[in-house]
Amino acid sequence: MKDTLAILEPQESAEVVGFTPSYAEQVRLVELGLVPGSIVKMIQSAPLGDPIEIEIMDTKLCIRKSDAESIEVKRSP
Amino acid sequence: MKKIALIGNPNTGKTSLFNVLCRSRQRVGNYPGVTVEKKQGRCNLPGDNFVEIVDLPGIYSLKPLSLDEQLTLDVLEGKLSGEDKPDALIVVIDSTRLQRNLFLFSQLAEMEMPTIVALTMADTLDSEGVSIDLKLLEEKLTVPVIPIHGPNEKQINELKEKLVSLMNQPQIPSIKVGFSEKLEAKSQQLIKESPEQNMSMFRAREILMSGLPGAKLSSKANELIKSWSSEAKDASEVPIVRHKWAQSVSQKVEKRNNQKKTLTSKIDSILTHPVAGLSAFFVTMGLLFQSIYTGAAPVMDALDIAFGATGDFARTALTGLPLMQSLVADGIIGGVGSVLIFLPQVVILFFIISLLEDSGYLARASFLMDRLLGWTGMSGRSFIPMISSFACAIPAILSTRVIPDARTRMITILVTPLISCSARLPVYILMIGTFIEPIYGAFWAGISLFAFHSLGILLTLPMAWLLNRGRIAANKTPFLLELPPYRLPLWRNVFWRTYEAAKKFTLKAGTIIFALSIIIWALSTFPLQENDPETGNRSAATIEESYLGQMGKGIQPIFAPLGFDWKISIGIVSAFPAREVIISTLGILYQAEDADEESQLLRQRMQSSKTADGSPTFTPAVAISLMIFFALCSQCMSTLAIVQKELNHVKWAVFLFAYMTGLAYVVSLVFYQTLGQTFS
Repeated sequence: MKDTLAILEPQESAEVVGFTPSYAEQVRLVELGLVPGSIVKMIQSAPLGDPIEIEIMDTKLCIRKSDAESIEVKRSP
Repeated sequence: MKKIALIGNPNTGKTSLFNVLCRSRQRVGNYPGVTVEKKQGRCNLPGDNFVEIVDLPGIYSLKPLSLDEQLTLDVLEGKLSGEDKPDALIVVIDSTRLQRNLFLFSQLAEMEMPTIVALTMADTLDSEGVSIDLKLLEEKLTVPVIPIHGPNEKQINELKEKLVSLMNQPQIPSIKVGFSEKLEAKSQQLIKESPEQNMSMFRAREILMSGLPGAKLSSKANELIKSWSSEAKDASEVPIVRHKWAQSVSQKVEKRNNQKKTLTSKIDSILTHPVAGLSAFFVTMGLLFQSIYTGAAPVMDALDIAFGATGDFARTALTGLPLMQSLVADGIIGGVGSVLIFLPQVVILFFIISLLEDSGYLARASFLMDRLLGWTGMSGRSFIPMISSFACAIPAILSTRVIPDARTRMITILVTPLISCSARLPVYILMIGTFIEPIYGAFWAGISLFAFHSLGILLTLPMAWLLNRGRIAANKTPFLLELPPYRLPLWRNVFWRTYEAAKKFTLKAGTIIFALSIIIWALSTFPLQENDPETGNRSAATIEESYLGQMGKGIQPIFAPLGFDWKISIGIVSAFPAREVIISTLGILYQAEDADEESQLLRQRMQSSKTADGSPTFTPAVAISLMIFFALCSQCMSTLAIVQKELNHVKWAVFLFAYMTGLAYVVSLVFYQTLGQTFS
């Protein structure tokens, strides 16, 4: 099981490594900076856990949990 | 005269720049055949020159995934019929978000147009802990870069001067982003093989890598694409390469002090916090709501008096011409006045919303509300229009323009009229005060008022969900919302936006209402009858004989199962153009002069009114049934007019009218025939 953006804890950062199932669906996220190698930080989640607020390339974004699940990350140990 | 396009990411201060460059010489309209708003203005340049500036929608990427992006790309390539290709570009870049903004710049460079960069937010660089080497940036971007510190006159003039020299000596960017040789070669080939004139490298690359939709290509070109796709390629190569380039430029050009935890982050740790954030949110919404009601009231009363006085003046001026007198005083001034009375609410609403939006808070509110609304097919961004609808659906519908997804926006527009607007309030107060309070007491009266307001909003969610299942399917693009840094709103922007909204409201709704008021007046006046010899006013009998009255009586059998008699039916029919009219109609029918919801005479008359067989026409059940019908029915011509305009087709206005009226009928019917019987 790969780690995804959806499971990060508040204030935790991780490195983006890839996409599942494929890039095509997440084009916009990639263009906003979620490219492999970039550092994404999960800031906090909305009430009820969805959507979540993330920081990528000095920009704060909200994305839905379901979209966050398609972004693979590598957590720091 | 030349045309320059203003383009950049959202939240970069692009609109402020546009406002400053074009001052008051702006026009807002629509692109031909598209529901995207077009903003254009004239900018005066030194040396008695001027240039047209068009403010393109804020976009993150030229890749056409949404309507805004498709339109922008078409405009830049000169492919939108009826719209000239711009002669030059001003690319607006947020100096505090250099790396991300450069992504779009790298795409725009491939449009091969004369370009200038306006580097905005330069005054916030210090507080964000960033410093930029301007000269180096200019070198790297190969075009002039002008820093903009807020609304600074000197720098704006510098920008204008550079624009003049740009017109004389156009500088086209010549950056090298670093795509693979193979990709570049194939793209060049594709351009050669395409019958399309002036295909840009950007478009060629997009076609090869992601099959740009709607491209008309020759068979040779199609072969080329097929041969390319058979080679293993990773479609994400293009954005990754762009980001690499953007990163290399920004790393060389800026110095960041990442230790500074910005003010924005500190504020957000409260405002987007699940508990504290929600509480703050409800308080804010409560204040918004409250100020619309109470703030507008004194101005509305003043307008009411003013219109009344105008009406009286007209009456005196036209004595001796009773028909003309009635047309002007009752029809026109009465009709149009009843709509213009809402102008203060529109103004206050837009003023506050502009403040919330410019400060950056609106994005946080949408973030908090998204879960609640997402399951229906709407998004967090739909919440603000819904809240606004408590005041009036018209500015609420206008404010749905912040929703970028066309389908979500449409669903939001089609359900917000269900929410109890302030025009329904007089009816609630009249009915509750006359038939609920005397029997059940003040407590239940209060509960009823709350219940009717809730009825609408509770129905919007399942209704939106339903519309989603049916003909209107939800869009699949991810919900993405940027939370911009908190900023002090720029007053110029706020005032301009409020003014635009007020103007739109007055003109658009006013013209339709004007026409309709005349029609309704005519229907209620003809065929001409003798006025009541005692009071000289039109009596209930004359209204009954008029066309409108006959319509009401004819329709009555339809409304009988809902518990309404012929007078109520006439009232409902007369209220279709504008809800409040029912009060005046009932007033005339029950012979109370100048009826408004506080009128005691009207209440008494309604309470004692009896049908042919002696039973009261108004029971609590009838009153509740009427209020339910009123809560849900589409009785506002102005709303229908705005819906038709915003969704670009009369069929949506018809649909809105049909489903709301149908829903009102059914719910009212079900109530009256079941629960209602227990009240009688």
